Amino acid sequence: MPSTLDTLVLLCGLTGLIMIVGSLLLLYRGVIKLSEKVSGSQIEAEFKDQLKINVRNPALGLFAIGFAFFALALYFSNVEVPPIELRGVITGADVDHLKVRVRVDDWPVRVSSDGKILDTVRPSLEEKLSVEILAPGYQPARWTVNIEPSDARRGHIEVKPPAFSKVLERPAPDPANIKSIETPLPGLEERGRF
Amino acid sequence: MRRAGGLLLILAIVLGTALGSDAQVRRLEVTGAVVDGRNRPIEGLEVYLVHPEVGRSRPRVTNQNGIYEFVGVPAPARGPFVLEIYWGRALMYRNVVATPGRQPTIVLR
Repeated sequence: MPSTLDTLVLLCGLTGLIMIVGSLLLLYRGVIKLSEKVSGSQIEAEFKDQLKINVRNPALGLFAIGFAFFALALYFSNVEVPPIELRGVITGADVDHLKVRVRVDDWPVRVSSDGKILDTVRPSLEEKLSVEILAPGYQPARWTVNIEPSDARRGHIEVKPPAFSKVLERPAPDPANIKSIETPLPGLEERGRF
Repeated sequence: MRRAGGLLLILAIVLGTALGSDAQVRRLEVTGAVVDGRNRPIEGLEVYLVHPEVGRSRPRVTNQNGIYEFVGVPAPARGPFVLEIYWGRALMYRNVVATPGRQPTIVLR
């Protein structure tokens, strides 16, 4: 299901494309001409008294507006952080006894004195990512390193965990400890809610 | 005009009830410890609370004293939570949380 922003970006891109193709078509059919200039009513665009564009040529004006829509859509659609490949080697531990995960650290959110939450969250995963290795029964039992997409070299980040040394033997899962529950429960793949 | 006013009043009551009920969601706390057969705390285990309606919690990790802690857990309307403990990928423990609060120490041997 596309978000509202996705839909807007798509519409923006389509509008730009239609305007560009339309203006080219009108030029081709001779309805408007590049040499044609309007003396009285010109196409004018103004933004907050700072940017003012004034085009006397309708063909160019149509093309410029269409291109602006298209460029805007391109700009807003390119918000994703490029994928990063994580590489590393775990030594000294049985990998079945470990859990390796990437975590997004807590984002502190500003709260005003009267209790209002005032902050903007940009879920781009630009920063505050960490790789965590949980190794119960080993030393260290928990190892974390912070990573940033800007650290990526040629699309990958090298993670260098320490050598793990065993301090506790993992017991075999005891069926007496694992009760069967009749009601179906949400699986491990479900995202944590609380 | 009077009809519109009546509708607005009903809407306000419905909204007020909804917001009020949200504010009154009961919160629970579930804490406990995990040790091995020689009573040594186990650090780095993943602990989950699971409920068919409330869903699955984010994992809590046992600390160096083997303690896990869930605070501000939304209380389910019915039925108890289930506590699950994973050692790496292996499920080591699953049982119903009979009463919230401090749980009996779990021994993995």
